[in-house]
Amino acid sequence: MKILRLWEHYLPRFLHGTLITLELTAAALALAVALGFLTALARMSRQGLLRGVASTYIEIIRATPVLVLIILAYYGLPQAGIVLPGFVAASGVLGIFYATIYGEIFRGGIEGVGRGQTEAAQALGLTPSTTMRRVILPQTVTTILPPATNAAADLVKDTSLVVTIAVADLMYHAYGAASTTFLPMDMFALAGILYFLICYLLSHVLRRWEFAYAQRH
Amino acid sequence: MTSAVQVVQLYSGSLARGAVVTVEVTAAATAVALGIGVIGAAARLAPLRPLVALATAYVETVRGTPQILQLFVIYFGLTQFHIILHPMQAAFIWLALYGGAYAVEIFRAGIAGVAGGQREAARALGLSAGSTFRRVVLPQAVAVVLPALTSFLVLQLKASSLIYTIGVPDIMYRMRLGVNTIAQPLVLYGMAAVAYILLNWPLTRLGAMLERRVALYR
Amino acid sequence: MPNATETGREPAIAVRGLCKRFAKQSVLEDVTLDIQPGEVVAVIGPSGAGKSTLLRCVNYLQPFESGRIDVLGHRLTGTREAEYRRPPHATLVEIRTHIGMVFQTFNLFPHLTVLQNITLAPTEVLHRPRAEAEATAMELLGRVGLRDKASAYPRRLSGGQQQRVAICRALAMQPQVMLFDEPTSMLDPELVGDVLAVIRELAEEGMTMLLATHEMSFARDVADTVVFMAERRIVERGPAREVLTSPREPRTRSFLRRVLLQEGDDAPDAPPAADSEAVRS
Repeated sequence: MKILRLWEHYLPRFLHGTLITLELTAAALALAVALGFLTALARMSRQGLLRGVASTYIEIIRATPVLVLIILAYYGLPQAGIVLPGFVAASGVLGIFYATIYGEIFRGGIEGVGRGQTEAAQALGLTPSTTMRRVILPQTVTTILPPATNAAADLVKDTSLVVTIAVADLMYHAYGAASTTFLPMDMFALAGILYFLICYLLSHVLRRWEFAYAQRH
Repeated sequence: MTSAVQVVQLYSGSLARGAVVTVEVTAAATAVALGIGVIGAAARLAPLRPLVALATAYVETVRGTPQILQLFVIYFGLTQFHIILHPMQAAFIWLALYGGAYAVEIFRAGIAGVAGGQREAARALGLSAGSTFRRVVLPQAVAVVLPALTSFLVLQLKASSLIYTIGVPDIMYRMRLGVNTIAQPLVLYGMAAVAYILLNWPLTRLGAMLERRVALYR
Repeated sequence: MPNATETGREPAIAVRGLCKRFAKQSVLEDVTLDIQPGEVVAVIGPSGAGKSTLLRCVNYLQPFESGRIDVLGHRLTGTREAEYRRPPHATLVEIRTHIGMVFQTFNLFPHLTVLQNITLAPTEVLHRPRAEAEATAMELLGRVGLRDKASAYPRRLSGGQQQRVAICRALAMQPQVMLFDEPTSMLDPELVGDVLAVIRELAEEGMTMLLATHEMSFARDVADTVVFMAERRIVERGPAREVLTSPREPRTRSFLRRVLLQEGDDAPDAPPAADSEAVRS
């Protein structure tokens, strides 16, 4: 049981890394949701220019690998005088990248609510923002949650890319332990189990919440 | 200090060589991934329990763990068992296995997406099993699968950017070499980003076009 | 064209030369119509005639290209008119709070209970205290016989019940005018009666109403004025009984004959000889 003893030795380090992974995820997710909502609104705007800008933004970001964007933000931007700490660069890039995904999820959800709902709200004199807040958004919860959960799980996994800019997340500690112990497979397996658990718990918790919400309505 | 234009001139040849490697690895691995996808989808829909379990475990493992971890497992992890792979081999194996898991889901959705009622309706009209598959099921499955496949290609191409971390001389690898030589990271990594956008552009156009055509009867 | 009810007052709604297009397709052409306070105007005509669009222009759910609509002291102008300016938001809110609208597809908010559906706009738009809004809502629900459904979600109600709730939702804003867009055409025949009874009661109370409908006998009983629309224009308008029983225009006549045959109701008077053959066969 050499493996278990080794795991025991490295587990605190790994758990600390897991905490950083979760922090990265939370920061990026907050940015992605906020920016994604704005992107969705811009994509559905009556203003042609705004629509164009939003869809160009989505297309360009989506055509670029996240890793390239992270490297560009961390190593490239200092050349332009913008020096960002690794955590900020990574969560910023991941947030901007996932905003395009959340933007499309939100847009799908909002457009899925029938035109009649907006008309009925307008006919009652509700302002556009009240209509969005009280009538449209509550109806999108059940359609948005499943794809939003999947995207969040993808985000958790993509935070591992910060190993390339030396942010001390779970992947970083796994890589470190792999090279010092000469037992890379054992170390990567432990990290893999932790990632799997995070993703599983995330989707499990959200699915329960979604189910409870659907039951109430 | 070299100007940005000079940097671009100096390194576009290197970028192009990197792009060739990126495209080669992606194309070869994706071809294998599609094969895995067809076999895996058949296994997942097969009436054999162990086969279903095996295919499901494969898909879930790949989708539940980070890409870079998978790549490191194959390149560094296997050395623990004295399996020493060339970076190019490791990159190819990883991208094929990684893509294969997603391809399984694409093909499965394509086949399952054709409603049972369609098959019944065709049989009720007296169509043979063969022509039911050829004239009714297949065209509808292709309609589901084709647009998904173009975005799958985009995903594969983007995922391939990870392989520079184990030393495959792709786009990112060459640009990093450049950064080590001249201190122009913004321009060089910017060039890498533009290269990926240009490589992906025709694929996303094609996908959008297919999406529109398919929308006609979906 | 004289109005059925000459009150001498300002019309509640005055539509002048209204033209509306969707993309390249014209949907309303040169529609002119007055609705006096307290008047009930029924718009009839084949589907695609523009009835629904006319209603939607009145509360500006849809902008229009030319013409104007004077509604409750506000002027809405066509986007192609020289004096056009986008109506300020406050004006739209004011118009819409004073005009209630009932839709063909009910459009109740599925995530809110019946009570919440009715109290949403009074609390959000008119800033009524919740308790007051709820008391009004319960009173309205009582009037349409749905008091016990206050805490139900719309999905659990029949179409007829949903439409009655939708009427309550509109009435809770204490509107001066009600627009009904084919309120019974999505209902099973046996549920139509309850909804029509509510609308009839409103008419008797003197509510100003503009309603697009397929129910000819209802229009005859309830409306003061009937407007027949076909192919994007008003073909004929006049006192309800006159238009429905002895229409002047041949197009009105042939439309009514088709519809009344389906309804099993009396056909219009004095059809030409050749037409009476058609009625009998």
